[in-house]
Formats: sequence, structure tokens, C-alpha cells
Amino acid sequence: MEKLKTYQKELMIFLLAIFLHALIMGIAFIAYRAQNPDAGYALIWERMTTAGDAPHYLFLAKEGYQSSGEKENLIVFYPLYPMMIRILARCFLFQNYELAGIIISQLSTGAAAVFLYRLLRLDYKEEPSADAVFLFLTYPFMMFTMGVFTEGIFLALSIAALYFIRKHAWVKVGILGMLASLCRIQGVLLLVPAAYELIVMLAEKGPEWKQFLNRRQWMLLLMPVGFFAYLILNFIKQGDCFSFMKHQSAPPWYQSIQWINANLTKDYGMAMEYRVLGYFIYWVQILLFFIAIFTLLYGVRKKVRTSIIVYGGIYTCFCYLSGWLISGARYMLSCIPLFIVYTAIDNKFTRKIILTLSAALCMLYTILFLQGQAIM
Amino acid sequence: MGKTIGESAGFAMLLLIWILFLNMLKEIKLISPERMMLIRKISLFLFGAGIFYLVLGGFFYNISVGQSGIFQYDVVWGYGSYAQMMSKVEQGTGNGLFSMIYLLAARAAGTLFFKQYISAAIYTSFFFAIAFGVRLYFLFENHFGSQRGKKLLLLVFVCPFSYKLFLPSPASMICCLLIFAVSSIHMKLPKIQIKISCWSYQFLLVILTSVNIMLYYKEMLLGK
Repeated sequence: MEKLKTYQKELMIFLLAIFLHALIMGIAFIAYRAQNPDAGYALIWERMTTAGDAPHYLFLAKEGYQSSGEKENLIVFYPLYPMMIRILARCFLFQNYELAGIIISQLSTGAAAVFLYRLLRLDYKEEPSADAVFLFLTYPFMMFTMGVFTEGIFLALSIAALYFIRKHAWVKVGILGMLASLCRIQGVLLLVPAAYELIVMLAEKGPEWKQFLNRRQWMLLLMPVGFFAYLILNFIKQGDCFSFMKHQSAPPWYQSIQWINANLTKDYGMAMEYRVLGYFIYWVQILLFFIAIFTLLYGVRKKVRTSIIVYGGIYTCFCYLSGWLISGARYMLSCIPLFIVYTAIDNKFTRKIILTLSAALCMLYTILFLQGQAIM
Repeated sequence: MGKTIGESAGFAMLLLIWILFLNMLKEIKLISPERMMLIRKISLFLFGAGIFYLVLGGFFYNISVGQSGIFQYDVVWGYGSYAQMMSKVEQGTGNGLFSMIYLLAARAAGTLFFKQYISAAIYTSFFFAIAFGVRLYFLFENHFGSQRGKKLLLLVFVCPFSYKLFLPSPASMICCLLIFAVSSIHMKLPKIQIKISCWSYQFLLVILTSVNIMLYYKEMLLGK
């Protein structure tokens, strides 16, 4: 009976995630239409399937990776998401790739919300956990989980992996981590909290720690396999395991690796030079970095599990090492430890203020996204 | 302003890494929770002291040249011959006999931080300064007890020229090596009982801080 109730609650969260998406997008559309009366509902579909990297994922799903030609640089995108779109579109949706991409994103986000709730309930009470799930679902750049982007699937995989890390279910962690690293490079980072949790667990056993080693723990080594598979894909398609790096450093991505100080200095310069873009991209990135660090330090103070904070730290650091960061705000959506630390805030009023602010910004940025502004 | 934001971000990330590292040592039972808390507290104090000096230098320099900003990044970062050497290291040419070890450490750090050599030199100095301060505290604690140990540590870090510990210079590394050498023999020393009155302590702090700030201010001007 207890289990049934839990499942019912989780189903509610799943449906709520999808409903909330529709609600936010619907309200944003109404606001947009007030200024542009001729806009039709097709606009939402168009933005979800043509904004940012969406066309690239759809191309990969339809045509696959290319060995040469104009589209050979699309090898910079990891294969899991396009592969899933391809399978779903070809097997069930009469080759409607756009719909397949959106369905995967929406369902994954629902699953991510459910796993986040489960993860939070392991350590926190009902109310703050529910608040954190709402905060997650109203993150200002949440619109990226609605369309053809990897956000939804990556969130589902990484949150589920964090949940199973916490439960010490190493086989599931290995498999989920492998899929996450086949979805995005950041997936490899899940190995760090997993290894940390394992080491701490063994350290707690004292001198007899060797007795607690078992074969299941070796499954953690599966986690980077997804990334290695991606390297092999690079080799098969373009004859070089690291050809993706060559493409990333070329236009239109201009990627390089630099220490955080140089990157944020550059962000400030860009914010000053391009004032409007500053509000959508650069100032947001700068602010989010300091919010993330402050939040994680607060998490240490509130005794949030160290493996979770370690993941937050390494994830933030990794994202901000990017020498040409323009999607920092989007990437930070996947920094799940921030939502977990939010749960640790005791003051209910503070939690509600943060939630309200986030929801308001979510509306604002969704409207700007529909307008076609540079929300990346 | 951009440099200030960037450097603050770099420092903030390092601070987080340091705190997590200490937490890890505690959780895998390499140090006791009490000792971890103590090291965390002292290292945070020293970290704050270092940032205070870095900001202070720019602040005084700005007052003297009539600028409105509070942080003259280039003056602080470009201070002294070691910072200049670091930029030579970047080209692979700078090596002095005396500073070789420091430069090697800073260069290794520079490689780790994606060729941000001057920032890495500051990080290296911070690292050695914090290691020096923590070891020094434990030495003081052994001889004078916890309360007096904290007071003495504060005195040391406001002493004239103590700001050099946080700037690109081998001072912090030399102090760190010295204190480790001293603490390896300290067990043979007798316990000392000294009393520091509250008023004389505050007085000493104010005097030393003033002298320190004056020296720093003067060097910043000369450095420019």
C-alpha cells in the first residue's frame, strides 16, 4: 500500500513536469502574441526544433555522422540522443524525427524530476524536496528540456545515476554513467562522486574494508566506456579518435580550454562590448558561477553529502573551463547539487523567495526564447 | 573590473576545492573531524588575509593616483621581479638560481592552470603561505596553548612584510620550509608560559598592521 502511494506520487510528479512545461510555454506564447498578433502556435514547434543545436541533432538522427563535407563537423555532438531519436522515429513515429526528439526530451525531463524527488527524499523532508523539484522545473533556462536538445536525457541519466550512487547500486550506476558519457562529455564526471562514495563507504568499514569489495563495484569502470565508444566513433568516421577536438576549436564553436579566471574576464569584456547579449549570456554566466560556488560552500556548511558537493564542484569547474562559453546558463541546469543544497535551506520563506524569483525569470527567458533572442 | 571578476572566480573555485579536499580527508578518516575543522578555520583566515592584502595594495595605489576603482589588478599582479620572471617563464627563458625552486613550482602550477602563469604564481604563494600558517599555528599551540596560538598567528600575519607571503615571491615557500624544519625539532624545546594582556596585544596589532600597510603602500608605488 505504501509502495502504491509512492508510485502514485511519482506519477504525479512526472505528469506535473510535463504539464508545467506546457503551462510555461503556453503563458510565454500568450505574452509573445500580445506583441505579435500574427504569431501562430507553429512558432512554439519551430523554436523547439530549429533553435540552437536542434537542427544538428535532427540531421544526425536522419543522416548519421559524415566522414567528409560540410557536415563532418557535426561529429562534435555525442551519439546517444540522435540515436534514440532515430530509433523512436523509425520504429514508432513514421519518421517524424522532430516529434521523436521532443517526446524523448519531455519524457526524460519527467523521469529526471521523479529521480530528483527520490534522491532528495533519501535525506530531506517532503516539503523542501517538493520545493526543490519545483525549482528544478522552473529553472530560468528550462525551455531547453522541452525541445530537441540533450538537456532532458542527460538530466534523467545523471540524476538517476546520482540516486543510485547514493543507494550504492553500483551496477545501475555503471550502466547509467556509461549512457550519460555517451550523451555528453560531462557524463564522465559522474565517475568522481561514484568513486568518492565507494571510497568513503570502504573507509567507514575500518580495517576489514577488503571484505566489502565485490564484483559489482567493478561495474563503475563502465562509466567512461560511453566516452571511449565516442572516441572510437570519431576514429571510424574520420580516422582520428580526437577529431571532435579539431572541429570544436574551429568556427562556429571556437572552443579551447582555459582556466576560469581567463574565461570570466573574457565574459566581462564581452558583456561590456555586447550590452544586449550580456543580459542573455555573459552576465548570466558570471552570476551563475558565483551563485554556484556560494551554494556549494553553503552546502558544505549545511553538511550536504560530500559526494554530491564534489560532483557540483567538478561539474561547475568543467563547464567554466570552456574558452568560448556561451551556453553556461544552460549547462548549469544539469548542476543538480545546486537543487539539492536548496533543499537544505531551513527557512521556508527564503526557499519560497528563491522559487518565485526563479519562476519569474523562467517566464522571462522563455518569452525571450520565443522571440528568437540569443538564449543559448 | 573584468580581471577582478575573473581572479575572484579563480580564487573561489580553489577555495571550494580546498574545503572539499579537507572534507575528504576527514571522511576517509585520515584526519580527525576536530583537526579538520581547525585546519579549515585557520586556512580560511589565512586565505582571507591574503585576499585582504591583494585588495589593499590596489586600494592604496588607487588613492595615491586618484583613481576610483578599489582594485588595481595590474599593480598587484605585476608586482616585483618574480612576477616579471613568471612572464619570462612563459617564454621558457626565466630562471634564477635563488628562485629556481619557487619558479619550478609556480611553473608546474601554471601548466596545471592552462598557462595562466602569473595567477598560478599567486596560487603557489597562497598555498605555501597557508601551509606555513597552519604548521605555525600547531607549533604555537604546542608551546603556548590554543588561545595564545591563535593570537600569535594573527600577530605574525600582520607583521611588516608579511604581505609578501601572498605575492609572487619565494618568501612563502622559504617560510614554509623553515617552519617544517623548526617543527621537526620543536619537541625538544621546553614548554613556555607567556602572558599577553588584551590591551598590549591590541596595541601591537594596530602598530604592526600600520607598519605593514605603510610598507606595502610604498612597495606598490615603487613596483609601478
